[in-house]
Amino acid sequence: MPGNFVQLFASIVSSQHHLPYQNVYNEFVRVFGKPQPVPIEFANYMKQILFSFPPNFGPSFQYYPLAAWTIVFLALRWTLLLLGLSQVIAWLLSIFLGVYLALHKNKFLDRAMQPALYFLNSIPGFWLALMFIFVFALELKVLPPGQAYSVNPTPYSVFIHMILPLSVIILTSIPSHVLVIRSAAIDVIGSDFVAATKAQGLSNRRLIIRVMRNSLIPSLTQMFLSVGYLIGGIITIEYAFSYPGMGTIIAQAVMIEDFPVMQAAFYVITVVVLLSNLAADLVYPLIDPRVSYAE
Amino acid sequence: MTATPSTTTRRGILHGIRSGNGFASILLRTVLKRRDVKVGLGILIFFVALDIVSVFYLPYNPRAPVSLGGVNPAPPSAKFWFGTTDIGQDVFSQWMYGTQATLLVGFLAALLTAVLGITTGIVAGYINTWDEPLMRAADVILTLPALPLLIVVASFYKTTDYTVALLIAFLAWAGMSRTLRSAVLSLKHQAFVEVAELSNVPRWKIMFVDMFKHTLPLILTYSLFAVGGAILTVASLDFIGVGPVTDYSWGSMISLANDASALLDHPSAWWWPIPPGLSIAILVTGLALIAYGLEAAFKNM
Repeated sequence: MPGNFVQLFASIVSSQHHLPYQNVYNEFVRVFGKPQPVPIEFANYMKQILFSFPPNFGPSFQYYPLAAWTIVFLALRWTLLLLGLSQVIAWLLSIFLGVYLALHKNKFLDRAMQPALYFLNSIPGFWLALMFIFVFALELKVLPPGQAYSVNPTPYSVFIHMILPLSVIILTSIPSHVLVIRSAAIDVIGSDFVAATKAQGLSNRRLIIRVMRNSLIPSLTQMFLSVGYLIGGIITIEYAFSYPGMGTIIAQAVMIEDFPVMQAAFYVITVVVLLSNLAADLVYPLIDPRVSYAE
Repeated sequence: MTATPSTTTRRGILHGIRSGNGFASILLRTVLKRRDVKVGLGILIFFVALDIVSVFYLPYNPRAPVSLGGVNPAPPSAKFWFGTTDIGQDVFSQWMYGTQATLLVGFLAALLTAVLGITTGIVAGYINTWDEPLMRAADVILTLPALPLLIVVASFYKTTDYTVALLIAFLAWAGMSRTLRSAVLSLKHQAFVEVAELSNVPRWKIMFVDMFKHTLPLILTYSLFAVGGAILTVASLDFIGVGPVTDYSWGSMISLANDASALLDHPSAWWWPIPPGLSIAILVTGLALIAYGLEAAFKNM
């Protein structure tokens, strides 16, 4: 940040609430400590993040006494719920669709689905969210337009509110899964063991199950590795639905320049992405015995 | 197994280079026969034409409230083809005008991504000592969640079309770099490279002329995906409210419509967010069709 951030923020607060500038400034210094030279401040900042649990990003400006970490952590539950549920459903649907398209390569449905999938992949998720709100919540009035629950978080209310955001996330993440599984399945179908299976005279159903199992491997790792990209899509969709997850928190923090919350949010997202990358590496040898990390 | 082009292809390429035709023209002839590429090019040409027209002619001033006296937002009519916004701006003019910023950011970001990706990828593949440092840097960039990072950075520093393109390129080069590196690694031991090395062709010329020519289809495919990715990223930034603040683009139109609760009002002003959103989807689809077509044509060559 160029300039002195405390002075800037104190002047904003003092002009908004008609308070004397010096009082506001003194109060800031009392709460956040006296400004130190930048290297020392940075060392303190890193110390508070890395060597305390939970990481201390300081209090949020917007919800003042609450720690930025608490706000982000509460929001993270909703985001992880959406991420987990949507990816399980999207992935299961994609397996069937991808393998079906690979088995019927260059037939009518396969040819028609490809441009359709490219188109679905190209729709901005938040725009699709706005259209869903318009059609299902405002015109047909069958589902609520936003938020995670109405008054109390009862299971039914949470479920009803989740349908729209979840279906938008599923629709926007299906194309990449299907394209990966389809090309993996085409490779598997062309391999020797499938020819051997056919020569053994195994039933079609058994053959399809074998093809499916072997096409899962690349798509599963791809799913774990694309979590960073997926979260990027999910936060804009959450913001469109005012869903109380990371997206809404980040957008609100950006709007009123709540820097501790923004830093905490980015920190948490990075940790989630790193963990999922690690998971991809750890899961790989479990599902594919040909891979091992032993020397 | 290395990806070696078949003998006939190699002969074709050599012939093309000798006759001054170049690899690109051979590729072009193969690619232009595909229907998906034709459709994709049609879409791209339409939007580029719209961009050029909007520089010289717009029906109304896209910034000024032009529909005064009357209900705003107003539905599409003969006078205002796509209706008007809540303060009486013409949506059709804004949509035409927004093409400029959207295409500028998309293509500029892709160009910068390509420059970074080509340089690092070819250098890492061709010069052994640079391989490790460049690829570890690429790994770091690949783990970063791009959009959340961009949101945080863009909220500290107010971005323009140019700086946002630079930021996107900085977070997007790694994938291209890796792909190019592995292509260069397999090209490195082919006869034509060895001949060039033995006949004292300077190193930079082998890297940035020969290697560049032979990875051109990859570069083109990747750059086209980069254009689409950059357009979607900038639209997301606009939607969150940290996009380039300088001008109207398709993303900022959707964002403004959302901020004005255009859809929540009764009756909903659906004509306002639909044109920019649909245009993004169609344009990015067009780019993807060209890119996948190019990829498939190259595989079959």
